[in-house]
Amino acid sequence: MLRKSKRAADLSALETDLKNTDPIANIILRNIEDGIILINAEQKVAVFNPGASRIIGLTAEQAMGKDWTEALRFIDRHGITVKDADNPVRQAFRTTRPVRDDDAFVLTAGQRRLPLHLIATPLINAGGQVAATVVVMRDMSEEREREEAKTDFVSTASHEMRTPLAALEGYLTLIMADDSLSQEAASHARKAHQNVMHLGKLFKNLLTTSQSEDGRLSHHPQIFVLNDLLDNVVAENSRQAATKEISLQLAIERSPDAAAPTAFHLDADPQRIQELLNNILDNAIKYTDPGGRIDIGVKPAGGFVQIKIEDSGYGVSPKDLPHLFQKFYRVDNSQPGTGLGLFICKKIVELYGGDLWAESEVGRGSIFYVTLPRHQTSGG
Amino acid sequence: MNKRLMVVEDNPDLLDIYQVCLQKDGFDVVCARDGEEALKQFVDCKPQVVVCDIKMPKLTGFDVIETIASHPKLNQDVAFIVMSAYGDKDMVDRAEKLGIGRDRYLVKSQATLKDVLRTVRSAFAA
Repeated sequence: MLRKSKRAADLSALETDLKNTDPIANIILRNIEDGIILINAEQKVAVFNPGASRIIGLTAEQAMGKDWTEALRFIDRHGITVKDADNPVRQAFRTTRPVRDDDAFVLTAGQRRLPLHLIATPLINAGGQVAATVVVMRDMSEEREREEAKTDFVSTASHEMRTPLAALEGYLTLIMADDSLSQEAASHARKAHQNVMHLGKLFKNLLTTSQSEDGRLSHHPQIFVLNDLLDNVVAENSRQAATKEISLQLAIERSPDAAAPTAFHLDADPQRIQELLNNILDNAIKYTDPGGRIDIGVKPAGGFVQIKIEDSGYGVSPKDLPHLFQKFYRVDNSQPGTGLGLFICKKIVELYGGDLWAESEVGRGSIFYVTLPRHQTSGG
Repeated sequence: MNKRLMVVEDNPDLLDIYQVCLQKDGFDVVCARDGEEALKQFVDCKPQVVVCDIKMPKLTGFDVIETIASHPKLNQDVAFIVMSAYGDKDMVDRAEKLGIGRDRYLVKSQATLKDVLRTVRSAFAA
């Protein structure tokens, strides 16, 4: 009973402090747009300014003296409560260093998901302990709306452009089917058609890129067996490889005592993984001379699966290698390509907590490594 | 029996292209420029295959497909092919629920005219 009243006394003393000894600080606190919350060493809210009220949807009376977790309910963009490691206030208390989160979300009192810029600064006393943490928050909903409008615009524009593009492709195909066409005109029509198909790929990549940059890369994860997907990918690319007389082989490592190759399970969107592998293979085929070879190797690596795609192609110079996964970086402009393929690959791999890198030697070829976390089935 | 199909597409150029291409390949092509026309034509002409755009004013392609599929009299073994500028998973899934397989969901500017022809031919063969 004594402790409780002591704590209450400390709280009101802090408030009184602020009100009486520093009127300017009080004026600032009461009038700024940003939300300010002071959390004391007992994890209770000691200061809750009107800005915080506006953002959280609680009055000062409702928030003061209560556990801060009641006011600051951190969630991710999908509405799921964040883990402690991703909770900026917990981290500030734990690490005794300021924690900044530019992509924070809180659940307001009205159950709305609100995007915030937030900095949690721990205040260290003479003994080196965290005496309190001050949280400064800024409502980012208007900016996010503008960003989303921009993305929606890109999305709408890309989709709208598909219809005239389809019309272009259709008419060119009809023209090419016309027997009365001269050889020259037929060749021109073919080249025009190739460019139209390239444009279609570019729109598709632009759409994917803009979605991935906003962290809105659409994906629908499920648990699936990578081995089967790899068979599909190889089958899909075999025709293209065969046209250039490039051998395309897949080898999945099996453990010495196993009758069949290890089955690798992934928790990911199979379409995205297919896109990732197709992009790398596409490059391998493009940049390997006829008679060359592309070997795909798959093996376990800790809790990950490692996919190695090795070609006997032109290779990439040390000058270009560090930029390979950059947006719009083109090593060679003579081949059709968008400069986005490998960038998208990187985004997909990042989405699933994997890794992607390349080794290369000019004149000898390149090796692309993809690692992805394995889904541990109950069998282990 | 004549192989009859209906193309539902609000873009006049695409409608023209499909009609020319498919007629040349020996199909009897009925054209509809929107969902309302499509439903009317469907009753009159009874096509065996319907190639349908999705995003159209007033009635969407899904509205048309769902109306035909759920109608007790109209639904007589019709094969649908979707031809849309949108290829999001949500739309493909919705089509799949209506019995339209992924191989019959074509995305504009990714599927070529040859792909359309191939898909129509296989829909009639089935």
